[in-house]
Amino acid sequence: MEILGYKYLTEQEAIDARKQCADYYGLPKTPEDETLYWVDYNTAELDTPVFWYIAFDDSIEMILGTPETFEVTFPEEPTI
Amino acid sequence: MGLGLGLGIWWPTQTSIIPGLLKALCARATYCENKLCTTATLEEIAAVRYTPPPPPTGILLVDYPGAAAAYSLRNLIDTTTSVVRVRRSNDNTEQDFSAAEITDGTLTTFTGANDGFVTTWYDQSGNNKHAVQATASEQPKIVDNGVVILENGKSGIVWSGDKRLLITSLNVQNSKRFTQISVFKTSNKPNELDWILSGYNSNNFGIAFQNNINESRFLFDGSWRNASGMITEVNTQYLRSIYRTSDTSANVYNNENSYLSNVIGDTSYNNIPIAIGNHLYQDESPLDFIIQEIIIYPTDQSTNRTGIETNINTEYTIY
Repeated sequence: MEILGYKYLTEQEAIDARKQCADYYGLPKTPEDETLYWVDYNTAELDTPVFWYIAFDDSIEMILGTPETFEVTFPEEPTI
Repeated sequence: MGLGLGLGIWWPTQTSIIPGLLKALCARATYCENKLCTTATLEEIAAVRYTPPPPPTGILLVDYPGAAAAYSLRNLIDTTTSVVRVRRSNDNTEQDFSAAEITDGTLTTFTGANDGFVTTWYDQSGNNKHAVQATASEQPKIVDNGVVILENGKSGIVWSGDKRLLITSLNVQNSKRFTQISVFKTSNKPNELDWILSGYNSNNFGIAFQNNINESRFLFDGSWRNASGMITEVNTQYLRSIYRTSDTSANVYNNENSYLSNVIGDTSYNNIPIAIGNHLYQDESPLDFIIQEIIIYPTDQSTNRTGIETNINTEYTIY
């Protein structure tokens, strides 16, 4: 499936990008709050080599820059 | 004839007596200590005993206990305090809300003219299986531009796009029996799935509905099981329930109409991660998918079906 977003070759890079977004929006606001991140990253674990990505959202373009398009392999849905 | 305050009078504990009455009786007892009391006064004091109120009725989880998890924006049990935690969009402040506070203006006073997103849908079963979402962009919405989202006059939560609430671990079924009840409405376009629940334990588990085919699907052991003939119309509110009544079949009810689902699998779905309103790990949440209530029993509740669904329909007036 084609995804528009931000692709990372290491998980740490994805974690850092996630933190950038959270910091920008001041999250978490208090230690008691449930909301920790603004966006989260996903793992393309069926792709070789494995990579990590954050799906595009308008609210993060000014933080992470221009997104790119890439392919992610998902498990197949069972058929009827 | 006057009597002093004697010994041997049964005295109720402070917690088991009505506070106002206790205060009045204490005043009289103090009076008796200082002066003299009539026998009638002492007998009145001695006769006070706590009469417990009758157990509440018409409260779903009181009448039908044993749920593995139960989510709603109304009180499903009389001990419920907060039903939801909301993050407001303007400054990301979060706050818990009771069912009454959702409807009495407290919630919209909190959000102002902004949006409110659900960070936690509290489990009312007593098992603390709260459905949470720590990522702001994946939180479903409960207030839209300062207005509580309503469906048929009752508050609801909207899933739109990449939204899901997560339960870390839930016991979906015991001994191949379970009951799952939901109140929902979709405005989804054909060919897309509405996920009520999804999970995973070596095989996919899920309860999903697709509105362009004449059946609804239940994903068990990695295969779709179908309630043939049962359709999901767009913009229609449903009370839909599934009762696994045997090792090989389940009875499905769609606004009281009955359907039989075929064989469902053997995989144990004990203590598995669950997503509400979306696939567990893929983004398949449609637009404008409203969920108002989800109750899961790890048992077959067929014998209580009429009572449970009457309770729900009385609240939501679905059919």
